[in-house]
Amino acid sequence: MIDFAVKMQHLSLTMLRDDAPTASIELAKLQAVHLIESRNDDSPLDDMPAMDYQQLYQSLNSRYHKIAQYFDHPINTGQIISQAVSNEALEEINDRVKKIWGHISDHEEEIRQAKDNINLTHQLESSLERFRNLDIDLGKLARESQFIKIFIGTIPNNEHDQLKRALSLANTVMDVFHLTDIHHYVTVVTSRDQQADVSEILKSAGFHEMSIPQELHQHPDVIRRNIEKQLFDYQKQIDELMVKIKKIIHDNRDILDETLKILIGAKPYAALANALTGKGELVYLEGWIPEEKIQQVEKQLQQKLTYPFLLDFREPLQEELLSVPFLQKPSRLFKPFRALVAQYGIPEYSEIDPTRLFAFSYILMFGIMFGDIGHGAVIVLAGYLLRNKIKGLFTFASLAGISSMVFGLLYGSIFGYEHVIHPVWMSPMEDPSHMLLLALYWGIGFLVIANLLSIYNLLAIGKQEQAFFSNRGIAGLVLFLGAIYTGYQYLVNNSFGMIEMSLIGLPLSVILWNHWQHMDGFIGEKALLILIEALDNMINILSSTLSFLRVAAFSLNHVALALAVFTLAGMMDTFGHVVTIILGNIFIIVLEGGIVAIQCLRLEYYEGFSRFFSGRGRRFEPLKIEPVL
Amino acid sequence: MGSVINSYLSTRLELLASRLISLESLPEIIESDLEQLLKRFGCADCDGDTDSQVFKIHRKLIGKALQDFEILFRPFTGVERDLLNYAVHWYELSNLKTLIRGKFTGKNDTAIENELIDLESFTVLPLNKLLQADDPLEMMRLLEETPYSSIVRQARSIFEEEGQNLFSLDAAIDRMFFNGLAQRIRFLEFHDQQQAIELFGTFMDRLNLLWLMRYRFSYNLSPAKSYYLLATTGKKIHSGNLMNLAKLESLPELISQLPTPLNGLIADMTNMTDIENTMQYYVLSAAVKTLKYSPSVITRVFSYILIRESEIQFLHAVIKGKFLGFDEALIRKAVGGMHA
Repeated sequence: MIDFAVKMQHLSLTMLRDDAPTASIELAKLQAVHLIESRNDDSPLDDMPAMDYQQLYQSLNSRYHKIAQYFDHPINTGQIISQAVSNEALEEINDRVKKIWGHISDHEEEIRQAKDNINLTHQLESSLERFRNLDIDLGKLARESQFIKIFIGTIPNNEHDQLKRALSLANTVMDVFHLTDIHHYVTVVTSRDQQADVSEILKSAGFHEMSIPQELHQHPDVIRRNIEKQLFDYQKQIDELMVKIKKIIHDNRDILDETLKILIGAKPYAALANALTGKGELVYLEGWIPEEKIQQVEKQLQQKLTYPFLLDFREPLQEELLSVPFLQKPSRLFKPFRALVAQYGIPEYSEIDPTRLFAFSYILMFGIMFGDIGHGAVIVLAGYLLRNKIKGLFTFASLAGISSMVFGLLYGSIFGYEHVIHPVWMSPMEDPSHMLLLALYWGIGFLVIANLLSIYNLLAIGKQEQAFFSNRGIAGLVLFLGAIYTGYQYLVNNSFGMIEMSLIGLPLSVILWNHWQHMDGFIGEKALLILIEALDNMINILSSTLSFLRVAAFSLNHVALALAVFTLAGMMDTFGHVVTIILGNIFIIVLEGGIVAIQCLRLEYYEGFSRFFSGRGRRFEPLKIEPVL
Repeated sequence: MGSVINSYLSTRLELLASRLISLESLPEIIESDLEQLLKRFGCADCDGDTDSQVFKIHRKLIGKALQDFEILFRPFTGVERDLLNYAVHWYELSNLKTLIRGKFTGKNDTAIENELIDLESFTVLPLNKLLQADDPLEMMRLLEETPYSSIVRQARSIFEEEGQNLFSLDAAIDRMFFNGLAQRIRFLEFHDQQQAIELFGTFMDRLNLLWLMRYRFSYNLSPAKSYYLLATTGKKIHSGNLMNLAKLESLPELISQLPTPLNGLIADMTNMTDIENTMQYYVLSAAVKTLKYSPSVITRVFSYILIRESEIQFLHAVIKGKFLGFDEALIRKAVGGMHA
């Protein structure tokens, strides 16, 4: 039930620089090493020899992906066998790809210009009527004048006020003849001697000049046709440019395929850049490796590296424990539960892996709270039908559904009917108090286990003081058990004496004293905080334990909801009855099932995980050959 | 905003304000040797040439300020949060200017990257993508997909006219920023708005005045162009005043036409550094007063940002001066008004 992280060893590899790309590929193929980034300490090997390579890789990768957006098919990396790539090869292909991208980028810019022109033509189209409404002779506007310069065009809306005032300082008039959500359409009239200044100001304001359409004197149909033709021409230009881009890609297919191979081969060494240090021809890298992969790595490097190398392994040091990555043993059954644990956080290397315990308690609580043979079967079926859409759902739904079915059998419940089959145990409604009491016992057991795990974890990460004296340690466990015993004695035997007081008072004093030692501030301030801490501890014990009553409450709620559905169905005719029963059951499965799933998760996270595991660990992320996407 | 959050923020602000460099300790900082300063401000391990070391410490100072801003901003929501986040985008605009300038002048990507400030959670620009653009036109196409698309048209026309000074693009970016800030202040609730406009207006008076003087008398721009490049949202110098001031032909004439108390503050000054220092002191005095006494928490946070930014500029200038081997008198003159 309790699991631990896969045992790790510290790896250090010293080799000659020429061998580093090959080593990176071999290590990536084995997916065995989680790299440690260089710490920039006082090591004599303080150069970062792969940094330039990484930049080159990033530059090539970026260019390749900019080109790839024009590919007709998604990038396929399936058949590519990765090989180490030299700096020279990377540089050479980068130059070639840069040229290819240069051509495409030029066409992209032309497409942008054509799109701008399309927008402008649309603007022209919509403003034609406005030009007609201008109370001036447009023919005169179109002609060059000796003394006056007229600009017609658009400015962004937010520029209008300031621009108008600024232009008035240059004895220039600006008039708005049309307004849209984005632009003001303006005419700007200035004298020839101010033209240069005004022109510069207009440019700064994002002014876009529009030519006065000569067609204004023509028939509206002719104007429309001309505009349509312009739009058609621009669109044709865009289509032609797209064809040109496709042709560039087609003509350079071989280079681009080669680039993909090179990118895949270069990625491991580029990924090594932040971890690889060196001086001259000597390079060094560190990482964490699962114990069982050590031999494989040794063998592979011996076979593939050209020059001698030094490979060392050792146990993690105490001060390194927080940085050792956490790796779990592979398990298909627990995969969906791992994802849920990871939502809370990754355990630290020395901590217990709570996945199995989580899976067991979650499934058990789900069954207790949602016990129904029919509903459980529907959940299994839904998981099966959606198995390809949501990864891991089938396993999760099957276990939850089966648990629900088992408890349905114990409760004698099928699709909400409580009297169709005889309960193996009893229906929750038969004795709700008993159900609540059992839930309370479950909660106490759950919290004791959580506390024990917390003590183990604190000892494992070297926090002995906390393991003995904090509320997460032995003192906390004694306080919890003492409080439960005291509660029991008071409620059942109506007794509260010295033993009970000591069972609460002593561990609480230890916890508070330990806390006091680590507090800063004035005595009064510390005393106030301690008082709050004491209250918080006691309230926490009460609220956490009572929190588990929801396990029973939901099992009762399930029956009550079904009763409500049957009452409603009872008011209908036969057809209405059947429909109400079906819709009611769907409602129960979706809504109540969802709520129960969330409540179970809440109990696990807040009453369980928050007590014993920090979630501050680091996931084992090995160097590996990956698709370049 | 609830009274509990108000009290929390006031306590936080007091704590952060107590860590600001006091006026009394300014001489001590100017007199400290470079090594001490680098150690004190967390850059003892900064290496590289002078420029890169100065950049590194500048980035560290901004990084620390951003961490404090993030803590301060957390309790705010809605228009207030929007205003504060927007104010911090000042640093992002500095990145944007660095990027545009670098790409336009053909600087290599590593050199540009070294000058960029890491804004962490405040980042909006896809810096890596923009950096990896192969040419300015590609970068502008990418920029069109960001919230800063409105400056692309201006950037493009400047790029197409080779040799044009990039300062007008910088001015357009600054103007866009300050107009956006003014707009966001107007969305605040009435009592906050009044307080914030007061402080922001004082700040803009200084900025507009200095810009106007520079445009008119250093760059010799026309009155119309000079006026257009200003962000007209001041407290004492309103839009109408600015138009009149822009028409004036000499610095003494301009100073004499300023509204009170600004005319008295810089009367008879002919040196831009002296005017800049005096105006800076004037703004920071107002910001310190606001930080201490304003009933509006959001305005106090805003004033804290202003003072902190000024502190960063002060330290940056002192450290740069030390790196360049300037004597203390010269550094003191250069940073004269940077801290109230």
